[in-house]
Amino acid sequence: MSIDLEVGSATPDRVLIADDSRVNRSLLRGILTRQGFEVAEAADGEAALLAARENPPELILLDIDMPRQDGFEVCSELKRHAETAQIPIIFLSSFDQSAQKIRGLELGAVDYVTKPFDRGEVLARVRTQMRVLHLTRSLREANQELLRQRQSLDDDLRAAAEIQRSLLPGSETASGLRAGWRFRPCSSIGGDMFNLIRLNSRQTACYVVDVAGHGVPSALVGMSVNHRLSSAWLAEEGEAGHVARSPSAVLRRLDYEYPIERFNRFFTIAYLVLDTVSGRLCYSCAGHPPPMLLRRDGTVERLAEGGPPIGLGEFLDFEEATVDLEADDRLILYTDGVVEAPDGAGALLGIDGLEAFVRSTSTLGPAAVCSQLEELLVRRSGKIADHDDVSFLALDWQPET
Amino acid sequence: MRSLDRTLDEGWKPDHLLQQIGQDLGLAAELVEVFLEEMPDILIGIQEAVRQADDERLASAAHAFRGSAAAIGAFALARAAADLEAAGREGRAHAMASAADAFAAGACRLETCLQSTLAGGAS
Repeated sequence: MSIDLEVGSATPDRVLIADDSRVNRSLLRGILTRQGFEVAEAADGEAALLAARENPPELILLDIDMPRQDGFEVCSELKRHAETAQIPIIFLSSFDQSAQKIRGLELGAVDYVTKPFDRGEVLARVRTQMRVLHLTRSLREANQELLRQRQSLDDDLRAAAEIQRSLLPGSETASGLRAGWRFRPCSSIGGDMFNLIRLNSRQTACYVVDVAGHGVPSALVGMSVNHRLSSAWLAEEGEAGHVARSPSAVLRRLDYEYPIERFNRFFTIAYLVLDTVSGRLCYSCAGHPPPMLLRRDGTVERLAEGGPPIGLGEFLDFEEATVDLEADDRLILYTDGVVEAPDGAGALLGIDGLEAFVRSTSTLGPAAVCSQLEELLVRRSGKIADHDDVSFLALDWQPET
Repeated sequence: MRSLDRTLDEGWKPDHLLQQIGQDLGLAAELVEVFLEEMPDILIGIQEAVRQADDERLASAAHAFRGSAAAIGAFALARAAADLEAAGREGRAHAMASAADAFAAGACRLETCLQSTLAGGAS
């Protein structure tokens, strides 16, 4: 994105000459019109103010020594009103008096010319001011254009964020699970994605993805992964019918399809498959901070089985593990934006800090836990998702009958 | 305007004017014409102000003359006008009768000189 600065204008620049001497006005008019400037004249201060307001010129040549309202008063008056305040003023001074010049400059004039006028000096000073004026104008226009483009980008990002948000699960998505979640991207959209997908009558898949970096590129990769993790791909036809693929098989497949060379980004994922009738949970984590299992008795287990982040190559395999849930056990999934939230002194919440939080909120429902966590993060950092995308899910399991 | 090259009156320096405006003879003639047009009214204003001892009017008319005379390079008359302007400001209009007469005489000489210059330029 670049903006060209065009200096100069198609229409001639207008100069207002305010001087009580008609000969002086004619002299300046003669000098300026011969150089292509358009000229308006005012014979006293009052007429100058009126002319400047009715048809603001590009520049005013203002005689200091005029009867009744002198140039200083006219200058102050012009500067007082918004519609004339920006017009550059060059004072015309009868004598080479520094006191007068200083006073004029202090009142906001940009320059002065001393009488008797010298054609070359008048033209040089007028042209200099016109150049400054046109440069300022084109800078202002360029700035407005940049703001407009920025606004358009912001609008696009907001629309993209809406689309990304619409892909997230509803809060009461899967039968057998009560869910609460928070999604707080660092900019409008981010590289975090998560979802709950009903695979068949008793299996539900759940995942949290965190693409390295944040902003639009990470969000696009996140959405690509989200798209790839459709139910058709997560289950396969077996002897027992349509059943979930094993988590390690899913991660292996992702690692194959998303080598880092493809988007120049790796990502981490926690992928879980829950039997919503028996409570059997099978999971695998690819470089992702471990989901937590809060038991009814208040103990917390970290689900740390898995392998390296997706995209780093096939050197290490993905392990998976199985745990059995009891009724009312709670699963906590999150991205590293939660545990890496710094406090004022730079100390991170950490996995231990999150675990303590999870234990302390065991009596609350999933939605309330999410609200409490958001409050905790804001309290620590002053602002949530200031440093990284933040995603957090709480899932309470009740056996389906 | 060829005769503008010469100094026709000790109070008027056409060279100076021409130098100021980049030797633009056309513009010089224009300025002289403007000066000649407005001079009679200003002169009458100065004389009436002195006769009526009107300080403010004297200052204002003399100020106008000073600016215009200086602009065309008639510096001697511009200085004389400045004296009259100061007298008006200081409340001495009543005491300026002889100075105003001398000023008017000088102005008439300048007018003649300017007229002939213009005529010379036209010939």
